Amino acid sequence: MEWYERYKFKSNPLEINSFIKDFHTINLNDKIQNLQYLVVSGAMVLVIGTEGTGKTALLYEIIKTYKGRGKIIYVDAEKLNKRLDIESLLVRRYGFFRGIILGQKPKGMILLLDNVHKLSKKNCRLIKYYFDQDYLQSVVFTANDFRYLEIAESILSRIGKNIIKMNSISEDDAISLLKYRLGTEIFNIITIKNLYSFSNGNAKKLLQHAEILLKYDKLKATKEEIAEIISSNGVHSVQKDICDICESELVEINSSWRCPKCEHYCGKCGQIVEEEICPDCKAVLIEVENGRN
Amino acid sequence: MEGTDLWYRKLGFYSNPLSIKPAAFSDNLIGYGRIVEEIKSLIEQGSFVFIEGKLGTGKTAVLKKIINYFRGQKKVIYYSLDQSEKNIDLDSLLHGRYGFIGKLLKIKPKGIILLLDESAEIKIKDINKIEEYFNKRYFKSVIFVSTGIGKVKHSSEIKRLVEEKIFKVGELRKDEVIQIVRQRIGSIHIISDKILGEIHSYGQTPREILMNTESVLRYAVENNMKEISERDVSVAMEKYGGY
Repeated sequence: MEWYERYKFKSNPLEINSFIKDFHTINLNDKIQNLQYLVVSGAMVLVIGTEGTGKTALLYEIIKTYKGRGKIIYVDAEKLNKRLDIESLLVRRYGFFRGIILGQKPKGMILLLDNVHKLSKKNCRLIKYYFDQDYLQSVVFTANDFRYLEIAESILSRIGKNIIKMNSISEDDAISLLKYRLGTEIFNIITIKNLYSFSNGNAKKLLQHAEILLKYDKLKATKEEIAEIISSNGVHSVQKDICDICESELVEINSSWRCPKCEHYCGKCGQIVEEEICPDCKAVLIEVENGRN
Repeated sequence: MEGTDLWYRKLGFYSNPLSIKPAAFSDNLIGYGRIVEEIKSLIEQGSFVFIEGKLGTGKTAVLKKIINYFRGQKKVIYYSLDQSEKNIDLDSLLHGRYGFIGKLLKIKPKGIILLLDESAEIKIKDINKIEEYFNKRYFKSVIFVSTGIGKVKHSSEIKRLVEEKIFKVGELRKDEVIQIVRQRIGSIHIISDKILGEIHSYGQTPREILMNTESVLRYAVENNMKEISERDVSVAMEKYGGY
């Protein structure tokens, strides 16, 4: 028996895949409208935001709008094993005969490229060409961070200021999201607020943590209890962040990311502290090589 | 979003008249008419030409124009270069001109016009081969396109080929800006020539102009304005992020 059957759900109410369960309680309306406008009017758009801020959810809104018209090409660059081949994606749209034998390509397609950290030069050239020739009506890119994005200048120039920035979710968003997914009965507000404080504004993390609590039938939990449950269950995010200052890889401690070189933090609860012993959980601090920056 | 909410539908256009796609250009390229004519005649005579211009100045639009002019004769090859690829496979480009049979028998057509977009990273081998094929008359004319001749690798080699036939596409004057936008949207009252002049101060390349005018018009129509003031321009730029 799955945990959610105990709570009389038929499927996992805390699903983090935005294609299966939507995040529509998080207020994205302005952003959705802006993106829909840009897609309809033919533009290149960049959606920027850290993990769990709703980038894929935003793309899903576009997919829903054009459902059944065969106009959308959605590619998650992160899940792609092979190299991205835009040309064959377009050609295959017309099936074997028209596409592969005659080499015809459809016009006015909408390309959604999720998680593009790095586009190869070849793909930049093709996207630019197909966009200019109107095979692609619009192109939407999503990425975590502008700084690590390596896209050709000719693409960036076509994007211009068509950049949609996603924000971390707020406490209110967290409350309404969990109430929307679970109903009002299961968690009380204080527990949700406690859960939110571990989420870093990341909706996926919030849902994952909530799921762990429910698996243990823990409907009320203090921050300390949540910290303990999470650390013993080790939810590890796929995202590996890099320190702003020294560019070394961050380590995850209780759902907050800390730089092992620049920050003075508690090795048990992840809080940044000045003292030698963490005032919250009384654990001894991690040694810092270069001191605090 | 329903179609009727779009600013350009409200103004009576079916699709976005200020699209930045060069394909949307209709007849004449404002400001570049003379350049296009000169390049066309040079191509017909047969020579090397270089087109330079910064991002968004309309290099691709000029190329598009040239492709359109020579279309239907199966004489134009458009090729965009990039770093990662090895040498340009000129032979297979040429064989491909005759379709399947051409590939099979390896026939090369003569008198082809080669358009090389993004040619900044061109390799010396390619330049030599292009020159060889030019001398053998497979290529009638070759056009290099890049952001600047100084930024091209082996620019001395290319300079030797193109000599003084370097054309610069660049920023537009105020009156050209007004013309370019008017050509797209006609003389609608909501936006005056004075305001178009104001938009010019936010960016002078054609792409900037189009994107900025789009932001302003979108803002104005969404807020049901009858006429746009200079203040509205700055608010619109703030809201929809001018270029």
